[in-house]
Amino acid sequence: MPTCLLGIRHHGYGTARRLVEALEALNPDLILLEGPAETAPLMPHVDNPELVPPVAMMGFEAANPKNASFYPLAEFSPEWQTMLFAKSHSVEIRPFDLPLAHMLALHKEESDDKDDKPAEAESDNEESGGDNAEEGRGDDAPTAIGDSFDSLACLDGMADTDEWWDARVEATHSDDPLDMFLAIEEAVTALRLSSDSLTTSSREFAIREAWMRRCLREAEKDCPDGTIVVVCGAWHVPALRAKVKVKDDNDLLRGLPKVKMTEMTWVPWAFSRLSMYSGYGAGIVSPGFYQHQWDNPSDDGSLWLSHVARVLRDNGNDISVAHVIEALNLAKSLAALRGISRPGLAEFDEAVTTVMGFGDDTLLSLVRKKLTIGTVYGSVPDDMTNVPLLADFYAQLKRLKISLSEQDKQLTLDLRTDLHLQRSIFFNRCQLFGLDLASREEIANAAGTFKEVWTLHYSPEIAIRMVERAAYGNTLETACTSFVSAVCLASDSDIASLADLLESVMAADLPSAVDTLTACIDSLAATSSDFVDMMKAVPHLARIVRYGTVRNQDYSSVRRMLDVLFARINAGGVKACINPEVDSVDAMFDLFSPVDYSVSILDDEDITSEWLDLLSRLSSTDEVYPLILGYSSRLLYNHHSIDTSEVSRRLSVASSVGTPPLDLALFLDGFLYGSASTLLIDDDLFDAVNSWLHSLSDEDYTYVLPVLRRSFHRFSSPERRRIGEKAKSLLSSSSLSSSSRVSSSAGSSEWNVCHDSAAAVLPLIELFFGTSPSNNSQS
Amino acid sequence: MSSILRAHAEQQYAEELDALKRNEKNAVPDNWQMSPQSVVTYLMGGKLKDGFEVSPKYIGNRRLMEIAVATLLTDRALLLYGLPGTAKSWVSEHLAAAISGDSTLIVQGTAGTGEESIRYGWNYARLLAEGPSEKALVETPVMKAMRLGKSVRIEELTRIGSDVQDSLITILSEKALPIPELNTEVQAVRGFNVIATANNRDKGVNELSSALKRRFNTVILPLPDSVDEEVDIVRRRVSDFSSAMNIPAEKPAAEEIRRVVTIFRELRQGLTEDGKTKLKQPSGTLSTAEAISVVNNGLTMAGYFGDGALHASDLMSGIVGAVVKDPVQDKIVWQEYMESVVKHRDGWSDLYRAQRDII
Repeated sequence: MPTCLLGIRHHGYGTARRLVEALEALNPDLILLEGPAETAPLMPHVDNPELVPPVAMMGFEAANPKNASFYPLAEFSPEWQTMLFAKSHSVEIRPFDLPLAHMLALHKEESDDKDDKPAEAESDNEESGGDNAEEGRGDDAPTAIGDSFDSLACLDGMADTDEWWDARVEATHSDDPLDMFLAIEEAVTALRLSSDSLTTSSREFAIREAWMRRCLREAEKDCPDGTIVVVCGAWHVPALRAKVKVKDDNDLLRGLPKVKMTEMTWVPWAFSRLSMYSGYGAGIVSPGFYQHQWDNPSDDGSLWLSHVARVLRDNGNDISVAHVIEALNLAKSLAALRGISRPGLAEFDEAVTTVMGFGDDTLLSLVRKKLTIGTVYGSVPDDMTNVPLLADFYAQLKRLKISLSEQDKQLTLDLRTDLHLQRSIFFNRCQLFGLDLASREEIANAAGTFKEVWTLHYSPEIAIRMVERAAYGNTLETACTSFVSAVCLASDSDIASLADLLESVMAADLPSAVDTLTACIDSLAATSSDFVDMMKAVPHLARIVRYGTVRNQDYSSVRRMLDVLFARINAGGVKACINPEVDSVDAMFDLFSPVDYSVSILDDEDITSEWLDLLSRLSSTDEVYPLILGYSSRLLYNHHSIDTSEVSRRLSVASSVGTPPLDLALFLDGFLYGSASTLLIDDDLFDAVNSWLHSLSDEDYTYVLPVLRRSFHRFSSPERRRIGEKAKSLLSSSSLSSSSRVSSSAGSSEWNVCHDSAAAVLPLIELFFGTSPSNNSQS
Repeated sequence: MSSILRAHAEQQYAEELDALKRNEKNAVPDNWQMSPQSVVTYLMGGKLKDGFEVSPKYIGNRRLMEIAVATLLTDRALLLYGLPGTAKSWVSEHLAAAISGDSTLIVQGTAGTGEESIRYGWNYARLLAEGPSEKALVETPVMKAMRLGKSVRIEELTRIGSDVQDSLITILSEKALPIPELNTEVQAVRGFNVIATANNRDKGVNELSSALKRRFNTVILPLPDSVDEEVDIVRRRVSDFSSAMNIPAEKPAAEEIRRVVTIFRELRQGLTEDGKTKLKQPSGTLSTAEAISVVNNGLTMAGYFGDGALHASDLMSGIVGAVVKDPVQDKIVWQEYMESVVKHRDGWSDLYRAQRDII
């Protein structure tokens, strides 16, 4: 009995249906399925009702988990249907593709010398597996293999392989299930012969095809009288038909590299991952549509368009039944115009745009997300999945007594309780790892308190994300740590972002990650001369040091780093502020305030002295940018390093005739930055500014006035009014000396009274009160 | 040469239509001149079986034309929608010419269009003399198309008042035109369809009511995607024009056309082609049709007032006229564009110098 070669397209729904029909007709004794040998133990589980597609078979290299492979399967994938058939009809089924151990080893070799082999991407639109999901290897340009089907599509007047296959293969019917496979074989054979660049094909393909031929020969020896059916990608069929010498194949397969692998396991998957839009490389564009076609083979489009109408109605569009009817008519006539027997997704999409969307295709994006791609997630029974990270995740949820639901839930945590602290750590770890499980709500003054508010929202997407990143570790803690380390080492980040990351890492209680990060920051800080970067990092580190006690953590290493940073800031600060770049000067200015605040909260002698030293040098170097010049003087005054007379002196210096007006403006801007309330409350400062103003000559005053007006304009109008009132009250109660002070204490105020005038008024007052100068009676 | 200024599409391209009919191999619907596939070929261009080359009339996405033809096939009305100057009336004319062989059944929509232009009018003298009768009825293009099974074109549908627009509803859904005064009706014959056009950026438009909107299949004709597409369109139309008008000028160099198209695209987008400089946008739409007329204008200037070759000075008045529609705002936009982009571009110094003479 000759071997039957059935070439399929991965994830093709029509192909799957034909395949099942063909298998029923052939009634094989042995089935060979395209898949790595290690998947054999997974296959018997397909009829477990808890194993619901879309799922994937996952395997990775034990030593280097990032070298992983995913073989996704949907219900309508021919491979899945084959496995189901084999199980239900008790037919022996063998995966006969190159073992993953060799495949991953070959991947490793290729990635090692990637420069030598540019376009030998192993995946094309034909393949579903063999992808390294981490590196998105499939994103490499579609190879010449996919393009060849494109040429066939072109000849038939279609845009690409998918369209052609959908129209000519998936959507058609015929009585004899086998004739389609024969036709495909003919087409592929012709294609492979004609494009001679592919007789050699890529090295990996050649090896795989040699392996498959070897397995086929063994199968024919094992089962000489029975029917053998081979199910593989259509592209490989001619290679299996070809008569190749055993010796040639053995030569190719000799000495293949191998890596040690973990056991393969079932993992849940999602339609969105099957779709090309998620960058998964060789996938299909519309899994939701394919599922619909699988479930409703005889639908001419009415059911699909009704679903579309329902989705649009849920979104608030008024889509009537008439719309659906008209859209269906249009789709059908479009199909007739293009010479295809049934409307396909392209025709439906165009009909929806034209009839329901009035020419505008914004409606389509909604349909695409909800229906065409679909939000379907598969599930795997708990005892079957062998992804330790997932197991750990669920175990943690149980331990911390966190229940998940699809709805958002709010949780308030008190970090003084151990359970709550553990929960907070768990949530922080999830966030670091990129799982959108919980997000922190901002509450005012939260930095130093023990209260945290988190909002939880669970979606099956989280499980998938963990599966994708399972390579990083077996428990959430280790996975998080290696993830963070990878991020830290991979990118050439700047100190500020690393410091930000450090804050999150400390909240997640990952001591080894903390060590890695501090080492990173240390080395960066030692060599960096980027002033802005260092300044940006300070507030993060200061917060860690100051509020570290909330989490009972050791932050001594951070403390050391801060000292180093401040020393470097001090060393390089002046230079950085002389003639800074125009773009960055505002950014630089904005950094001074938070750093100053950090210095105050840290309350450390050494750091404070470093900072003050920098400020004084900044404020006394003329070439420093005036904005910073002014602000540093102000900060020095805040820290009581300089007194009011010094402030006046500096103001006078800054406003001397020689200074360009812009410089003066900037100086005053910096000096008066955020000072409205201070001016109102701090009399000394007010006096300093006031006296300086008074000391100006008329010409100087006219010169300074517009600039001053501009600076004061930055305060809000109520603030300005109150400053004015204060000045007025100062003026009205001042003596002829210009620097007298108004004491605001209740009680005595010195009033200069003119006694003669006062005496003249007294009789009138006595008249009002009905008293006479000598009379004490009251009325 | 005939003295007609511009022939109808079915006359100008009679040879192509004939060739398409000769090479017909698909089924032809009732009262259509050719099969839908041939109509699409006529619009998009292509090579026929006997080697005849059909010139493309619409340069753009083929699928849009397929949707338009498929709509008319299903007896739904077609609404061509889009910015001014995106070939809506052009496509409508050619569709009618290819499907019915007659693009002259037109209702030009204006703010003053009344019901008597759409349904039927009366010969008032006869009406008063003899009372209502068939002879007193004045047929409209819509009525004629219904009787003969041809395509009727309604231009600028949205400019028509809403009450008059709604008189189309019965015609479109029941394909019948009742004449209550005579107690009769006109029922549409197979092959009748309505092709409407409307601008979506216009003043004084009356939005279609939802009932009417639902009876149309809307196809939005976009502005050309790429510079090359737009240059192609302009080049073709300009050579048609110059041969039709017998202008004694050389065919314009592709470079000149490209420059005009680039200016129009950059101002339209508000961004230079390399995406580095933001530009203010003028108030006009600067469509492809305007680019075509600018080049035509330039050709005429060159031919009659110049030396026969198209130079920047010939083009410049046309370009300025197209861009500066609002004398105050657009002038600022234009000057900024000139100073910041054109002045610094290689090889555009002649343009810069030419415009200084004008503004």
